[in-house]
Amino acid sequence: MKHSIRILSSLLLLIAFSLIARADEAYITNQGENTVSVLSLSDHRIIATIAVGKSPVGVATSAALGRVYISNVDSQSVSVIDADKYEVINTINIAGSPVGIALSPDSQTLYVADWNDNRVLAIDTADPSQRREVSIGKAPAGITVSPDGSKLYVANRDSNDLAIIDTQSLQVLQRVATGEHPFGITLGPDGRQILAVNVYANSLSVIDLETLQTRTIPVGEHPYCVAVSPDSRYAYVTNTQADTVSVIDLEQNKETTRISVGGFPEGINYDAATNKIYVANWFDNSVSVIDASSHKHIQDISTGKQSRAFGQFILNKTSH
Amino acid sequence: MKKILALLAIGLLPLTAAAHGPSPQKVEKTVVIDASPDKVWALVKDFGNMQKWHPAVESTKLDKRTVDGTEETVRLLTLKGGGTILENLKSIDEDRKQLKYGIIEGALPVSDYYSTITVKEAEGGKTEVKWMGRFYRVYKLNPPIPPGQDDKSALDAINGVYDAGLANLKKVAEGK
Repeated sequence: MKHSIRILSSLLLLIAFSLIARADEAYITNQGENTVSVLSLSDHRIIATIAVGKSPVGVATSAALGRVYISNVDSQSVSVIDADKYEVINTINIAGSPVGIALSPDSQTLYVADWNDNRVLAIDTADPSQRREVSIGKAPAGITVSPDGSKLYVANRDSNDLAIIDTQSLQVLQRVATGEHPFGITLGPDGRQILAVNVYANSLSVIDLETLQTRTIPVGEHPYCVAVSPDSRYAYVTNTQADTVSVIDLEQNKETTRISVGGFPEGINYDAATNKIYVANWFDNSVSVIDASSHKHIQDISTGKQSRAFGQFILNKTSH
Repeated sequence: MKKILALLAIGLLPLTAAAHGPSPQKVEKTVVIDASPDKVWALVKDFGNMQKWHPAVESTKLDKRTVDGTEETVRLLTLKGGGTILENLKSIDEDRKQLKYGIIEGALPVSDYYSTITVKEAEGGKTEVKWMGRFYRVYKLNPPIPPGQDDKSALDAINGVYDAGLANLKKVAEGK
């Protein structure tokens, strides 16, 4: 009996170790060197650097497919990365300027915002030649999909609004006014609100998806992107021209603190597994790590030239 | 710098291959100066006196203006050989010895220009100055890109501004 317990406990240890070995990863696009840095979130080391297309910007990750999609704005393409081998296995051509990129929750559809031709493409991930498109406002930038996959949200940067699109019919259902020049967007984890960052207005629009009522919260200089804590309590906004992250209390509707990070912070994601926030710094070629419980900037990790990481760049490898 | 201004004047700038929607461009230059950080920082942060160290600037006029209810500090640079640039001050950080500013409009073939100049201590009592810029080319629509409004024109201009400026900042700060 004792013997079998010992075997069982060593088995459990083995299982635990294999879980630890599959850490979450961040896929950071480096616009200035046409690569993606893969950052392990367990030990904060760069475990791979992958050559992609020209001027990579956007990222969408799929745990189900084990793939990561990268938008390359200057080569008019999307690189498809195999996240086990850390190599590009396919390149999808996109006429125009692909920037914002997002996946449906079932990973069957890849949405790509082409901000030169004012449209969003819906591409079948199993057969990228199958694609539909929807014309939209001016310069579609940040995009994201509702948790049930039924709606697509698009920030129309040069129309100063957010479009809500039915994914079945690809019809625009609604356009909700934001502040001036909305760029990065994210859905609150509870699915009740969508947040859009207004670059020229130095503010964050928080849109209630039931009532479509909007609140506007001032942030720092020239903000780009936003992430929300898993409990939907805090939003974190990158202020590109202040080298800071604004921490917004979404219950109090105000900024409660500002955290100094690297130079020209752009993409930002919250990793629920480690309760850390990751920020890509375009000027400093690095990722800043913030501890979400203390709101302290704890580390900088060197990546590649001109890191952007626009979108959902964390691949969850631990929950499988 | 003179060469760039001359090129600007005659519009003799190359067309590049077709590229859709512009990407932000970056220029980053550093110089090591044999002078104290305080001395160098005093020159850099003096927003109304860029002519004291930049060889392309004839004169600087400091001003305040109100945009959307917010007052900001601006400077009008008059360039040697003509042309002006209107810039706005974003911040002066005394602790980090860092100046941040942007271009509202002017003679350089760039748009959405934003820059930081950071002064820090280097070895042996010397000072390192890092000048970084982020900007787009002028033309933001589909090709064909008009001459002088492409990425290369923007990069060449800013490279010229930083190279000439940092070389002369070194001369002025070192008293040579």
